[in-house]
Amino acid sequence: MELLTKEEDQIRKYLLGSSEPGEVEDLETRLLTDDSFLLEFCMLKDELVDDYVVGALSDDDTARFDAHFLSAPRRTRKLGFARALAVRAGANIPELPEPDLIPPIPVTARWQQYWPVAAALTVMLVAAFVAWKALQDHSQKPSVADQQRIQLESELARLNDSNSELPRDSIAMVTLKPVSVRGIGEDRRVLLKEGVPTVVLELELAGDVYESYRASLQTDEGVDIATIQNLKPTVDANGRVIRLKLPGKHLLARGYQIKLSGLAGSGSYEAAGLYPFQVVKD
Amino acid sequence: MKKQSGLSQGEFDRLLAWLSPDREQAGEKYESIRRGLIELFDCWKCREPEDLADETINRVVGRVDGIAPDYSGDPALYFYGVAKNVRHEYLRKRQTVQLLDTAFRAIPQYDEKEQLFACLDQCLNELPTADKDMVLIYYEGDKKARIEARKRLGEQIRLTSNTLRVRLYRIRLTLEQCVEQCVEASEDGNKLN
Repeated sequence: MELLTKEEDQIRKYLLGSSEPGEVEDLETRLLTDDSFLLEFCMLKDELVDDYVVGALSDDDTARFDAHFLSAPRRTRKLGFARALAVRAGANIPELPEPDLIPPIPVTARWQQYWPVAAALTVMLVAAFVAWKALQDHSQKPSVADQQRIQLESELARLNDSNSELPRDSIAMVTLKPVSVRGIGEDRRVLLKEGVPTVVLELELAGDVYESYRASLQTDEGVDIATIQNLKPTVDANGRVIRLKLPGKHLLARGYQIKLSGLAGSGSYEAAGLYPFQVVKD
Repeated sequence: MKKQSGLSQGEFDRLLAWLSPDREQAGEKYESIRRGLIELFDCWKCREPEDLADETINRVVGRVDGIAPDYSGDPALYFYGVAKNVRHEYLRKRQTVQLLDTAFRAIPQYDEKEQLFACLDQCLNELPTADKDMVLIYYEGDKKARIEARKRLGEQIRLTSNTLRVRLYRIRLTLEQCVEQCVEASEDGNKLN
């Protein structure tokens, strides 16, 4: 019984992204080598979703569920199914912001909505083709991915230039603490309304303060997307913070993280905090 | 046991022989590894867990003749190593798309409630009556009520709590797969009956 409880705890932690270091590989290999463990894992996954639906998770686990569990693409579907099943069975379920509060979009409107996407895709495909052709001729030139990264990083550098000011009504602003001092039930969602051009993340600084910082925008799996250099700390009601501006149009409804490093006197960068956040589209 | 469509019968047979000398056990192990791979790729936040699981299996199959004779230990661990490489390549490819992509927003999210409920009702009606009743009774309450319902249902049909838990999981899985297929078919333009 003790073993089962420990196993359940291990699985729930993994599903919520809070496994202890060293536990992950053990759990993942057991998914392939131990059939009964796989069954237990699948049952606990369903039960975790059910607990979320009926509001039975703690505040901390709810925050982790939002930020980690739901960032796997398939799982919003799973949640939708679990909610529908609970509703059909007559359960009282609490109101939750995602995805139930997304207004149903009529089919025609959905297609209209996708026109800009189709147009953007066409432009991207043409751009990708042109870039590919160019690569055929000049193999020393950067790859399409490198070019995209350079383009994004120069946009981020412009946006985060210390002289650039933004009108308050055109931004979505969120204050984040580093994970090491994470509070219980802390909301790490960034609500992004359609058309908001800029997201401002106010990153609270903990520990040593450096003159200059570097922020790496990463997926929540730790894959680097872009780096922003030369960020200066400012002081406001939350203490010392780094204000990081991100272009709203490039952010998807998914989990990201900012890995912050401070420039030490020796000229090397030191870790200054990790700030996960979940973009929720309105 | 269902052979993955990309594999020839010969390749599939060699894979099974590596998994176990007993054909039936090998088939069960193959199914279990594939289900585990799908779960892994889902946990790794990949959008097409089934495709990536099959890609992993294909790569292993391509190497079976070379590795099987000298391999010691559980073959499933070899699949894990290959899966990590497949995941790494997937993340690298997706990183390019992540920068400017808007297309993935179009992934259906079950946000059209009418369609979802229509499919759920249809799939509930396809279940045997006893299973349908059991699911609806179980999911009627909150967490505490569900535990009590499981105990009560278990007593009624003389099953232990854990056996009933497994049974409920399997019914729900059938229902969820049915709803998913129904919603996808509806989105493809097929009308519900």
